[in-house]
Amino acid sequence: MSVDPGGWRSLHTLSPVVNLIPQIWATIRGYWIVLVAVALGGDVGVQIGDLVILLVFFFMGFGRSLVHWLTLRYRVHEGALEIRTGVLNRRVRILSPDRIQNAELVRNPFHRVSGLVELRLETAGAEVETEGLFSALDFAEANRLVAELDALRRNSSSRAIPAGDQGVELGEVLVQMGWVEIVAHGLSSRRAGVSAILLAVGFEVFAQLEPGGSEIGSALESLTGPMIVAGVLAVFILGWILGLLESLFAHYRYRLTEVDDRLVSQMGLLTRRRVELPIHRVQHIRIDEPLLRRVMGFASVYVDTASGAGIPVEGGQPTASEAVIPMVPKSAQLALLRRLLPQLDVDLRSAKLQPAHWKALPLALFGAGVGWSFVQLGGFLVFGRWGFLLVLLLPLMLVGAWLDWRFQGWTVTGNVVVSREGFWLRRTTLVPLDKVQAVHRIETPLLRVLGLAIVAVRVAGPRVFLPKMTRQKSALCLERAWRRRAQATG
Amino acid sequence: MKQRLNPRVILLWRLQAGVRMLFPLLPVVIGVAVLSRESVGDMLTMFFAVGILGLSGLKALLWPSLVYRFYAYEVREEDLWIGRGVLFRRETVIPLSRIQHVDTRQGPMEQLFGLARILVYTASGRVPDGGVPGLELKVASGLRDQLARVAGKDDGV
Repeated sequence: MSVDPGGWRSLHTLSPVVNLIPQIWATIRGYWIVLVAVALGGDVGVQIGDLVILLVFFFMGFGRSLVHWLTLRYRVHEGALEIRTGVLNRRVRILSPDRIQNAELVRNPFHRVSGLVELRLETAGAEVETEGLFSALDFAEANRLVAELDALRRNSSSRAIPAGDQGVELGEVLVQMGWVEIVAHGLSSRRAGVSAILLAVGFEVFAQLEPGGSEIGSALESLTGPMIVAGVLAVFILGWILGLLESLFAHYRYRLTEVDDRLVSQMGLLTRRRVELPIHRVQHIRIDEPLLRRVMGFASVYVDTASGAGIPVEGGQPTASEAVIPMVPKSAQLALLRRLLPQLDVDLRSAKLQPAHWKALPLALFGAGVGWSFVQLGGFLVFGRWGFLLVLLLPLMLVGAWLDWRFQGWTVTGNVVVSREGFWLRRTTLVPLDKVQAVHRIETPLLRVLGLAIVAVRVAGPRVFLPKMTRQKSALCLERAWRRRAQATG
Repeated sequence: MKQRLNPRVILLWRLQAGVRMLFPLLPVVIGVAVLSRESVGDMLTMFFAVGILGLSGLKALLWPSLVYRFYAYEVREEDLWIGRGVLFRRETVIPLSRIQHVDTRQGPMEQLFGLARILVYTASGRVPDGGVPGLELKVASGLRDQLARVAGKDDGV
């Protein structure tokens, strides 16, 4: 990092090198099909051609890193962060400190070896890209910049937050995860999708190996009952192991602390992440309790600000939340929620939520029936006459729809909107009324016939749907879902 | 008190719907008509195509009146209320303090009719949270200024 007379600073000299491996990884992920073609397909000339295409993409990526390092300059000037980038298209961004929603420090293994860190500053509405992205800064410099911006926001003297990776942390530890929680989280992750894909791949491979033909039906005929059960079990166990590994990589040494008015979360095995977000920026809290996790006595809590950036889980999709608290014991949930949302005026354990209207049940059952008919159709197309076995799914799906309907609920208290949905994956959403941006009431023709309506509450970021309710209640909800009141109402 | 749109918007919507309908459908109908002169089956296809064109025309003629009938807005003490939708009814309430900015827009046909629409943005996203079309330009400007004056007192972000 260097400083010029105008106070402009630059990224660390090692920035392009540190970005090299992530760049290669991104190229592999983006163009894996070309790599497969290089490895397996065509003659030598074609393979060389494919390889050249791949190298062009790689060097383009590396070139972008190089240009990013060469041209990015930043400074804190007149109370704001100025970022200058670009060669042909020059761009100057000015970020006001009080508009910064959260700051994230990311250290992949290369950052850690070189003592550097990637700093991401998110502002409200930055849906496409991070507004303030510094791919490689000296660790102390990144902390200094975050502290300086924070001090400007508070209009007080600068005070750096000690880096969590140094093992020192000011503030109160709210949640931390040990091995037990990591294992429990991995085992209770939803792996149905992965298991289904593994099963499908397994069937396909088996069908190909069958000497008599390529039809899955004939392959299935040669399987004995115990073999099928063992195979399915093996797939689910593999899915669990994958979940466990993902949890280990993403949440190793997880710790959530409260420092002054900010939440600081740190996690990750290979790539360490530290996210800071001011508590008053919290827009939306989601509590996910899959059945297995619920039985274990845990829940996962997702905290959103207006940045809408989300944290990409290692090897997975972004969680679309700025702070994820993977495992919160049931006994500690309320206390934690009160720290995340000081205005919370409802105890979710004992709160009496308004149920979904009974007329919503036939709709739910009808939806499940339609969903099943598509599955059944697909089953016949894929498995032939064996597809009839999917009839067994119908009662399960109908019971699932009934349970989902039965365990829905909502309420609008003096300070928050609460919405709960699902049985297998119970999801409770909390929206502070003072963050509500707009409220919509929707009546489809069918809902109008039934005298029902849906209410959707929008905050800066996600949209929360409340369970179907009567038109009268929805009209009331429309008027009250954003006004803070002293008295709670149903 | 709930405000209605300017009635001129019905004619504007009819014209817009007509233009939207004619561009993709008319070439198809002409194409079918040219190709279907010889066989009975093709004649049926042509009748089918003309039928669709007729129904679309009927919709372009009648639908705007219904949309107009169900469109209303009201600037209340603390919020903006918008109601709309014929089959899918939708009511929106936007707290005035959450409004980030208000746009007034006039397309070429709206200019022809002396109408404008306002779009209301909050911090919830890049698309407007609410909009009111078919306002006389003077009314739209007045509404825009009225909303802009009270906007952003507490953006909730």
